Amino acid sequence: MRFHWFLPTTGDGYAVRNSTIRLDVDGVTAPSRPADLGYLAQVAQAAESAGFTAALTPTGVGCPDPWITCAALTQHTERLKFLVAFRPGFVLPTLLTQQARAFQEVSRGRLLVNVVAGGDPVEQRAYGDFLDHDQRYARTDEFLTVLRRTFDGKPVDFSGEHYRIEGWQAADPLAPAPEIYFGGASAAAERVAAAHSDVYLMWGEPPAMIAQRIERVRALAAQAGRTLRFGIRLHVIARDTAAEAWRDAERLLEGMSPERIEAMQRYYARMDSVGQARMAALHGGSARSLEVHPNLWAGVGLVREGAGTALVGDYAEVAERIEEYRALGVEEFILSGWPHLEEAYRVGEYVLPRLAAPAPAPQPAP
Amino acid sequence: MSVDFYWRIGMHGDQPSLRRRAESRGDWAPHVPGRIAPALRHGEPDGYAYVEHMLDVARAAEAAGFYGGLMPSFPFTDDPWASAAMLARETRTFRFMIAFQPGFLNPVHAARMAATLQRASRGRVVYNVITGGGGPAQAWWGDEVAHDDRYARTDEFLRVHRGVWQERPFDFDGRFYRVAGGALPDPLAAEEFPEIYFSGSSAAALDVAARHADYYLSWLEPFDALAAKFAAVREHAAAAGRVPRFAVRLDVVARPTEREAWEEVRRGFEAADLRGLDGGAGDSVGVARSRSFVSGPVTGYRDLEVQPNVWGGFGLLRGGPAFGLVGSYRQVAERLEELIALGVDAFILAGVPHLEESYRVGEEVLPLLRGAGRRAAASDRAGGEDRRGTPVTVFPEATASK
Repeated sequence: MRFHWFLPTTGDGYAVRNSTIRLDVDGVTAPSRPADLGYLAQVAQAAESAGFTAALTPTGVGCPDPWITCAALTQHTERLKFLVAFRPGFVLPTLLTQQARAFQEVSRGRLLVNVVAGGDPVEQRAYGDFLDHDQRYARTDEFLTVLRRTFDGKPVDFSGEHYRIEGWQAADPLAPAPEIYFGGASAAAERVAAAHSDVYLMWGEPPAMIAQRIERVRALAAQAGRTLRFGIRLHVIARDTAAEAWRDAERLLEGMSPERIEAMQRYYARMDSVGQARMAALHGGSARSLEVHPNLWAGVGLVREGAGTALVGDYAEVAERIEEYRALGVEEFILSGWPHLEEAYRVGEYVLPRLAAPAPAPQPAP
Repeated sequence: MSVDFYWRIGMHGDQPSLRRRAESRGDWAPHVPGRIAPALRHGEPDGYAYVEHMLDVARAAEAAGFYGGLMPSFPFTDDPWASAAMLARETRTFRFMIAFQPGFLNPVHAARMAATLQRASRGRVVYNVITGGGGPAQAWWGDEVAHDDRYARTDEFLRVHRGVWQERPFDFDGRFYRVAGGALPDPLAAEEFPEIYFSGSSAAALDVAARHADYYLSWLEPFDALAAKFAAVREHAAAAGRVPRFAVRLDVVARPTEREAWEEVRRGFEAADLRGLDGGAGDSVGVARSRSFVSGPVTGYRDLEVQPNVWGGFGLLRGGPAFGLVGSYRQVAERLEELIALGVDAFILAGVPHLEESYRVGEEVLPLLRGAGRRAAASDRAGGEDRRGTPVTVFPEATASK
């Protein structure tokens, strides 16, 4: 199992915040902690100290560019890897390989990439991208076909529907080649994931739903003669007692104005993301009955795009739920909580020790 | 009026909460899973040093609006001089209140050392002069000087220390030190002499404090006792022609509701060893005073609440001073305001864990204070640029903006 944390590049505080979009409605307050480089460095250092492997950094029209942010943060950390999200349509695979090569150089090999095909047609068009949902995945398929070759240092001559490349020259393979994480819940996404990704990422749906997806993607990968790993993206509200955890979940709920919740429902409605539709179905736009599976709370999704569920409970319960996902085949967990600095420590100190193999004994003092 | 808020930097690891007395941050205890410490990860040493955690706390406290941090010094801690020098490079406006016992350093050598750190940190050194709590700790340092004589030595130390810095050349012939023609070189002497926070509750301490202290520093006590103590200090200082300022060092458990704050304390108390209430083997008058404020047998945690929100059991949960504040954000802010009204000019606050609680107190409690301006720190520059650490007074908004 690998555990990762999340960088709140749009700001942090004690309330649920949007991570990739800017919502302009009543009830959205300025972050109590602006995400300047100094603060993000603190979060990254906390994640590193607390034993996380990597930090996911989001991408979207409302947040800073993750490549630049993460490149800066590599200089404030020693071991933490950066799971940098990007949209294949907005950059050529060849150029991305150059970026990745430079990133591996400055970070001493700490890059992981998270391929996001995009889920909001309005946002895509604002970026200048007019492909429809399935075309976006077809483009992603071509993109990853090329990217695998360029990561490996192979020469590329490619002629597809979306990319045409002539005379890309051989070079040393990227060392190490960044592992490719991929998210997307539609049938088109599953096919691309099975064909190209190292890790297939899912937002935190209930275990039964996750099990079906794992089974499908695993079968698709097997047809292609491949295996891949599975990852899940979850928020965490873990406390000493379950009562305290649910009280804090309730507090997050109190911070969500009806205007925000309503605005987010309108936002979800315009999206063509299957994953987002699955998330939205969990909470149904209402604050009632938000515990959709024991300790799995869909309240976050009322106002936050993307990952909309949190594990809520005492430390042992949260650890048990993680074990439940592990039993289904999930090996990578991308976790987060508000504020991200404090919660990195909490999860690292109280939850991860219940899951990780016992740490090796320290070396005896000389 | 501006009030300075300092935070405490844990120099000997930290606990993840007050609920269990387990130091799981830092390499001061054996490794366990989840420890935030130098460790073996994936079979290899991870290159983490404890000073990096101190730095995390300093950065957090700076961002949360604190003016500086107290760096305590005990036989079982890292050394604050060396640590402060490292942390100063990674912070911008945060001051380092270095605790030290004057008797253990040559005063001229100490002047050069401190002036060098002033130069390197652009004037961010503050002194917490302690004269020793006696007992085994004093012996550990190799110091056999008796209680009142230690204060006489502190007096001489500070006279020489200031003399070679400000009255160059300086001659001195005393009981403990003798210096002929002592003087810092010009570039070092040009640095500002650090503010002195002075602690000590005995009569001998008050006499020396009257002559040297910029701030008379006390642990928190019941407010009446503190007011009486301040009056005695004022009297001593008046005899020396000085007007002292006051500082209080206290722990804080502040939560959104009072109930949650007491719940934290209750759990810690129930896991604590109550023998800790009887104090140690030293000759510290302050420790003896703390115990004297709690009357009768202690069977429940509320027995240690000597007045609303003032709780005397922190020594059980974490070690160190007995008294601190427990309550809702607003209650803690109100008690701090009462202390300001009593004459407190500076606070050294602490909470466990120090990293997270610095944000909580800085974000949730300090903005509620109405009666006093705060001196600007790194993220709190509304009052203007603070290039050389010149005090800038800002008046935070009366209510929290969240």
